[in-house]
Amino acid sequence: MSLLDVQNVSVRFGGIVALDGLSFTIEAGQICGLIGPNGAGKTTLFNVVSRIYQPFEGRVLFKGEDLLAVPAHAIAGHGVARTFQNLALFPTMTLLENVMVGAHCQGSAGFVRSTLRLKTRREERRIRGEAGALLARLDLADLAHRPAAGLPFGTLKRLELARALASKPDLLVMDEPASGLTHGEVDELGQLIKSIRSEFGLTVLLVEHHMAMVMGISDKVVAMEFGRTIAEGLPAEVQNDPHVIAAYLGSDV
Amino acid sequence: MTSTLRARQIRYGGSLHWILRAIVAAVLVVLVWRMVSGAVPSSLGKYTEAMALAIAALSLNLLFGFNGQISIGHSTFAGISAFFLGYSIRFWDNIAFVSLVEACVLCFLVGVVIGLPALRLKGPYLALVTLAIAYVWPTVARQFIERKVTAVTGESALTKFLVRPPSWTGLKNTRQDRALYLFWVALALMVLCYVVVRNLRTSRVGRSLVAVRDNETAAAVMGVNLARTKVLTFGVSAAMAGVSGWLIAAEIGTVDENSFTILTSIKYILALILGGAATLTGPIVGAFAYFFADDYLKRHAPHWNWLPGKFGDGPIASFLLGVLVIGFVFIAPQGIVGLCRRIGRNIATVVPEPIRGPTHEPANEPNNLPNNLPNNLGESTS
Ligand SMILES: Nc1ncnc2c1ncn2[C@@H]1O[C@H](COP(=O)(O)OP(=O)(O)OP(=O)(O)O)[C@@H](O)[C@H]1O
Ligand SMILES: [Mg+2]
Repeated sequence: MSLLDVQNVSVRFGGIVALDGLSFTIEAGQICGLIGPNGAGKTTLFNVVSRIYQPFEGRVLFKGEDLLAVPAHAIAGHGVARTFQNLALFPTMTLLENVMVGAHCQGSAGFVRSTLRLKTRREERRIRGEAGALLARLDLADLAHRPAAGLPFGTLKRLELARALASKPDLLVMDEPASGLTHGEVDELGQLIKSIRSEFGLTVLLVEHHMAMVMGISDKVVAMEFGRTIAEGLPAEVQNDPHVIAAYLGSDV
Repeated sequence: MTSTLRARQIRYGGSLHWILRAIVAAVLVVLVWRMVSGAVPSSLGKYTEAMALAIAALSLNLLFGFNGQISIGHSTFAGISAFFLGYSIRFWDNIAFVSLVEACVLCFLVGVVIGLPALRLKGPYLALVTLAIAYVWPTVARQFIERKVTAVTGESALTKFLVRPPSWTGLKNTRQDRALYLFWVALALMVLCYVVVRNLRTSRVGRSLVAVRDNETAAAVMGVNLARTKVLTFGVSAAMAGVSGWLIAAEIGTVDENSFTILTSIKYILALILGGAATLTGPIVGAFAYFFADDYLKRHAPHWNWLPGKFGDGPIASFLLGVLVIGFVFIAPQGIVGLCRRIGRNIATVVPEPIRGPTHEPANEPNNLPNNLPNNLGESTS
């Protein structure tokens, strides 16, 4: 059984068909690169997987379970975490708090327990400790008590990664993690993604325009155009696929 | 990077921090003692009213400051609670504190119902809905008085309900003792509301509130139930506004349809902004500053007859206070507390426990640590 099984998913925005019967699968433990020209529908798919958009047809199975039956706020608890194409952090909160929000699904204190501080101490200490360890892992420990607003882009990208890891996901969905990074940083990011995959036992679904990185770290690549899968397979296969070459022809990649 | 201007660093929870806390606590105790010792009922009443305003500002801070939901309808919750106290003491012989609990539950439920549109509406639209509620309240209150009060007693307001000190306090049923009793009740309720807001803010729920304010989509993806969080916050905030209304009603002893209007809501908002929204102590500081500035201006404004025409009359006080608050917020957008923090930061900062350095990495992945990632870039903003 595949970890993630996207079956015939279609999403429309008014007249625009963003996803048009998209299908592909990811096996547990894989790094899967999702490529496609601008507007192909990659982010739309991510928004379907994190239940921000409702597709009008199709199924998304995660560990064999129908993800579209899960409410948006329960997705994290099911083991799907993501980062965003354009940063979506909590700018007024400190880095530590940002990561602690990432661990929201790992806690259980509600309004009553939080108000009365009923058995919250151990949970708080655990979440804080784990968030601190994640910040340290991503070299952000020195900035832990700084608000996120105003920090450099590369730092914030790593913060998003730390926040996503805090929910202890099985599937990490990353939307263009390399955008806005310098050349050297992109290489390190590739290594980082590979090492956190084995460290945290993750499956990674990665959207990226940076072809060298995608082809370098992916076990599998899915290419899409106009909301449809046009090729699926090993990086070398997809790279030489005539459909993919045609799709990218004239673009800058 | 050695600089002579470097602020002193105080470790959070360290001995210096505890000494500072003890000093602040001592100052507060002295302040309260000065308020009560030898005070006459009218000045005690002013403190009680200021604390009621502080409670309202605390409730609005939870909703607006931390959760980002604007409400101009909070006067209505205060009004509901005030009417509930007056009516239940007068006509049901209710015990004052039973009324308080019941009024809070009632306000919570009404708050949840009013909070429901907040799920679909944002910013100015939500403000408009709550404004409409504040606008309608006086009419509803008038109807209530006519049908339930005037029809029975002939009076045109809810009056003659007194919150009497219970016998165990040793206080008698005199004007002085009642004022003193209410002062302590107000103080206890204000501290209680402060602790509730603080506990919420520094917990899992509080982080989710701020996350929802900062970025709704990201909060949902992290597992925050947006609908539940927003509606419950509205309910808790409404209940707290109810505490404020209960206290005002107990203090003044008479309420009618003009006791809680849109202007009351605006007073709550101004007090919060003046003290500093989204800070823990801001609402209390702001409420006291607002209340006593208002009080001062009301007492002294009549003498300003050098102003042209009608401006020399009484209403100038409210007008002047509005201008002063707006002017102040222009200089200090984070309010009094934010301003104090900004100044204080140059003298000393409280630094939390630092995070331990990187834990040891798995040995089988030798070069997995991105040593050259720009981890020193953050320093450039300091
Ligand atoms: N919320 C929305 N409302 C209307 N149209 C949308 C919305 N989101 C996406 N679209 C449209 O759907 C199509 C696919 O967009 P999507 O963002 O998924 O592309 P993408 O593959 O992520 O592109 P990029 O590489 O530029 O990020 C585009 O034509 C876009 O304009
Ligand atoms: Mg995209």
